[in-house]
Amino acid sequence: MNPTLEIDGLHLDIAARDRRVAVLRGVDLAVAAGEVHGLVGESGAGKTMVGRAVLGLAPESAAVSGRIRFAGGDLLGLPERARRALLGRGMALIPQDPLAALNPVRRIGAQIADMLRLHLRLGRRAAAARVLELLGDVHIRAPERVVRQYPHELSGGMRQRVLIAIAFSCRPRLIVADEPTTALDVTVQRRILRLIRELNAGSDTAILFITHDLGVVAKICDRVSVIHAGRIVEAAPVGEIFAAPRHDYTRALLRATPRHDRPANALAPIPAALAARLADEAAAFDRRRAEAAADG
Amino acid sequence: MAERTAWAPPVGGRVWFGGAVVALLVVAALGAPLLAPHDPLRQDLLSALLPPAWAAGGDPAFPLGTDSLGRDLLSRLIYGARVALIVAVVAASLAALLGTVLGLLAGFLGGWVDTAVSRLVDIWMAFPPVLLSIVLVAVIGAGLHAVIIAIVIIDWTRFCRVVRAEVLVQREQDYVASAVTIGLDRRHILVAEILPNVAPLLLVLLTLEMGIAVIVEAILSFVGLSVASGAPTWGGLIAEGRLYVYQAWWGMALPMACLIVVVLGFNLLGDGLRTAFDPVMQR
Repeated sequence: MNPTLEIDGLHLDIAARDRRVAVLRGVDLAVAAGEVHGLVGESGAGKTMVGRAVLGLAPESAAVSGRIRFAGGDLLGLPERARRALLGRGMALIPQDPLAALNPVRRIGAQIADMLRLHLRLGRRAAAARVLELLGDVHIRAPERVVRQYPHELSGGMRQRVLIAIAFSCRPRLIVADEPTTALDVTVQRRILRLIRELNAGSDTAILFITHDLGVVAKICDRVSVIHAGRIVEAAPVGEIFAAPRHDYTRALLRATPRHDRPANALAPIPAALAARLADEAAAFDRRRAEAAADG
Repeated sequence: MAERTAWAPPVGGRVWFGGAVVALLVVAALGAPLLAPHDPLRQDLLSALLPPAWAAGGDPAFPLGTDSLGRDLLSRLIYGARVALIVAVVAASLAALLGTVLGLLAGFLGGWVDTAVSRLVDIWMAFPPVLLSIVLVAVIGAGLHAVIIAIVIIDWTRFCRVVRAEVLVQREQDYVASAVTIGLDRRHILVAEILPNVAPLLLVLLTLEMGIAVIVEAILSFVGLSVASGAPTWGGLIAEGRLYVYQAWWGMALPMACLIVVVLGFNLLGDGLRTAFDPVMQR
């Protein structure tokens, strides 16, 4: 079966003042229907940009090339309008900061209902009823009260549940979850992960789960791609990544992740030699690309 | 970060005082025929330039004295509130409407729309407002409608600048980005997502603008360019009172006092509302 999302050789450059900075250097990635696919990397590796490029929300100064196939069609070839039309119904986002992502002066119910009325063409009454069901699905108690509240009146975990309800509301083919638990404390984080898992189970919605936290990956993902300096260095089922990491960087990343079953002094930063080698590789890649562009 | 569990009423001395003054203005304007002891236009030359009732030589029938034609000053002040209120509400609202629409579009669309609107505002602000309004009224022709048009034409820039700047801030917020990811169209995002976030600021500006509109109307009626002469307006009363200020100070001082208190009331109300809305705006 064709994967829901298939990324081939995705490049993304951002225009800096006088030059172009490569952010993604040929990302390859495939997410099957129903799969939760982790995209792991350190800050600045380009993981958020992958999500943005998929959703068509890359910054205006960015040049995107390569191929992104979604449900069989090529996304990068589509005109802006057609891409916008996919948002919400075809693909949705669970954002990182749930407070910022909700409009501070609109009631929760109205913000969820927007989605239903726009994409499912529900009337006011039907949308209101469905909103209550959706809030129930994400285990919010007293949804009748919550729909009338404003975002600042909810806890961080509740806000994220609301955003998850919005993302899942129209049963999209793909959900990009951009560090959805980073802003939450650890116990809330676990419940949110369990919720995403639960909503995903039995549906064929694919999830691209962007995170820097291998602990989160272990709990929720089926497959993992490790990204570094804009390239995927390793992709494997989640069990293999933890049991037998192949790439040096993946091994280093695993050693740099705190685990409750190991003493704190077992933590090791990414070795300087490895970081330097990877940086050299990235620089060499940029040089080759610049030369190719100059020749062409 | 200040978390509030329930909406708290915007309490504060400034809001209460400003609100009371504005309420008084509304009552005086609406109830003028009931409240005024005399017809504001009826002349009584035998009781010309009477001092207020409490001063020596005052007549209890004319509580605040009379003008040079023997018209009751209190009644004229009360009727003058009508003009002040109409101008405050109509001119400020229309200026707010025009400025807000242009500001929203400029801030949200950016590009050439923003450039065009912003340059227009810059040019507009280079004109001296009082002189411009006098010229405008002279061109349009004296009268209340001309005063209102002049105020709208001059003061829309206040709203436009502030709204545009606020939209620039708001449209970078994550909630706008997530509205886009939901697939909502640009018109909905501007009207239903961004506008409500600009509304508190707009309300504050509107209140302050009402005070300004009252002053501008007073200036224009002082130079005789507002409502047809004879009909009482505070600016007109000040102008008439000025001629006899050495014999009858009250003819000039009392309308000035009305003007000052009302403008102060609007300003304090606006200021108090700004403070009250602060936790929302600074989130």
